[in-house]
Amino acid sequence: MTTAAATVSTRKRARESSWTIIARFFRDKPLGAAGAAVFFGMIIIALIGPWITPYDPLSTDVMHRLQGPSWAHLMGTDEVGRDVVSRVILGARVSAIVGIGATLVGTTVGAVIGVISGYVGGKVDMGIQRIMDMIMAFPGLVLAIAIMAVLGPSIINVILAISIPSMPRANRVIRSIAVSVKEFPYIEAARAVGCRPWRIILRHVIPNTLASYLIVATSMLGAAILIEASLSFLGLGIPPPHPSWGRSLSEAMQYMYKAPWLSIFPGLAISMIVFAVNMFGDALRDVWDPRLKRL
Amino acid sequence: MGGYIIRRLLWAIPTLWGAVTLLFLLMRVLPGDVAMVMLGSEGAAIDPVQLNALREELGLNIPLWEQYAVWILDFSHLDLGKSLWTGNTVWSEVAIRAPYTFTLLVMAMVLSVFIAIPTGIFSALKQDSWLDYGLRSFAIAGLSIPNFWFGLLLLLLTVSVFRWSPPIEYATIVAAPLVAMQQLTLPAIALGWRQSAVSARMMRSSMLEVMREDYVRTARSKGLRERTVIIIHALRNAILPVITIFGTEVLLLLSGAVIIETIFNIPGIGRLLIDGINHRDVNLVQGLVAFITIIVILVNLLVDLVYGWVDPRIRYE
Repeated sequence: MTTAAATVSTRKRARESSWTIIARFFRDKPLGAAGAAVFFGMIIIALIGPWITPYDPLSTDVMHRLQGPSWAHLMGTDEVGRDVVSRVILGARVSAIVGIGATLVGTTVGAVIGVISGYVGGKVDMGIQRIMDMIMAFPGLVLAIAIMAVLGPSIINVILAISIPSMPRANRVIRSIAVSVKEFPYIEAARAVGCRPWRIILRHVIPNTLASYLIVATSMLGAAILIEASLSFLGLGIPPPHPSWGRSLSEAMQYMYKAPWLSIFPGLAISMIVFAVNMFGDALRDVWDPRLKRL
Repeated sequence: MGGYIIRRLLWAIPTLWGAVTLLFLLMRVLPGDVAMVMLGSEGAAIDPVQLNALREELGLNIPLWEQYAVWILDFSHLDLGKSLWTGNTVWSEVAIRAPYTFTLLVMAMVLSVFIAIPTGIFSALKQDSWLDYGLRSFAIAGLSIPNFWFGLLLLLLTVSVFRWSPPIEYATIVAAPLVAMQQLTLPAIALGWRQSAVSARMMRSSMLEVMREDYVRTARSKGLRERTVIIIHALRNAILPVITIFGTEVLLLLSGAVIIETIFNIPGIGRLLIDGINHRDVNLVQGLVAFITIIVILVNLLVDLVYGWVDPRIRYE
């Protein structure tokens, strides 16, 4: 009974403390908290998008093409009469899926290789780090373009094309943590009692890198969303007719003189999300690990 | 300094070899069939004879190690291959397009340096003033607004306010330097503004750090003029981090050039890359990416050398 009560009270304290952390985050980093709110708002919009669009984002209405912003169409209509608000809302889906997907894949693969590289050390570390150097010798977007040229357009391929150039950064950060954690006395103790390397990595090294993993992931999210938009803008992203912000902007270029609003709203959406995610990532980094400030 | 230059030069060779090998592996080993992509199929029926002929032409029918040997041997002779779309060698295509891209890149860099370094310094010297707040807002905007949107907005502004639209044909820097520079000013601003934001922010923070150092106080207490203290004493150390990020920023500028050239219709290397993909010309894409990698490695080499020159401690590491 006493033990059960103690467990409940510990759990309660743990829950309280995580709420306290969130409350403190909001108080100390209002801009970061606002960024987080915008980002989570985007995820909700991406999830419920199809149910909240005022019009069908794919249905055309040539009679009402290239109309300026009005009460009926808050952001106007495009060259085939599709509602821009609906397309911007649905465009959040592609940005969210590709942005989060590419960040998760790139950061996770980079981090796992980083942990192995840092923990094992020696020639393995040297080899892996030189491969990372080589990936870093390519401009990120150019490498993503080359990969898209081989793979052809699809959502999985876009995620892969963005995640490969983003691996080295996560790899570097997580490797440096693994290298320092390896020297801790309790790791030595674990080795002394006969723990196998994979068990040490899973139980002791990886938990130590989790905070940095989340920081690197949030700091890379903005870049991933931006590269997706750039690929779509160049016509190498998710194939039509599914709306994406980058492609909407590239289509808008042809109607720049007649319909300037088409060039404004999708760009505003991209900038707002990238700004929000960057602010959120910066705040998270300042709160959790100020040592990574120069990341 | 001589030994340092030789060491850096020698280090550039394995990096280049590794990068080119990685490019080869990405283009050949990734789960995708270049020939299928080139024939434009997504599960639709393809003529196997046609597919085989294309694979033959691309040299995909021989074993992977042989393909690699051919690729690396050609590359060591600086042969980047032949375009399937135009029939010309990649080098001759690059020779036509490179002047536009290099002019654009150099102009973007010069513009960003001229904006970033003075604003960074003034902002640090006038910390927490309106100028400082203005610069910090500019830096955050520079990091968040994608350059293709900024380019579009610039174009929109010039088209609607000044009735100026991008030229149909661009002059080269060799034939008509002034006209070329005039035509590329707007694209260079669109391309370089992000870098100027990043560098200005870096310049500001490193200047703030250096101005609090003891040796700056000593220089002041010797009775030197403030201008001498800043330019001769503080700036030389404060500029180091700005040079360091310059190498990585060139990577971003090259990525940005692909987009800016598409928006402003500039017939540079970035446009060629996109045209190459649209024409499903994998040879051209591979050759161009290899060329861009050479440029990146050369720029990084140059940055390292400048770094060694500015900070003698680096040479002895």
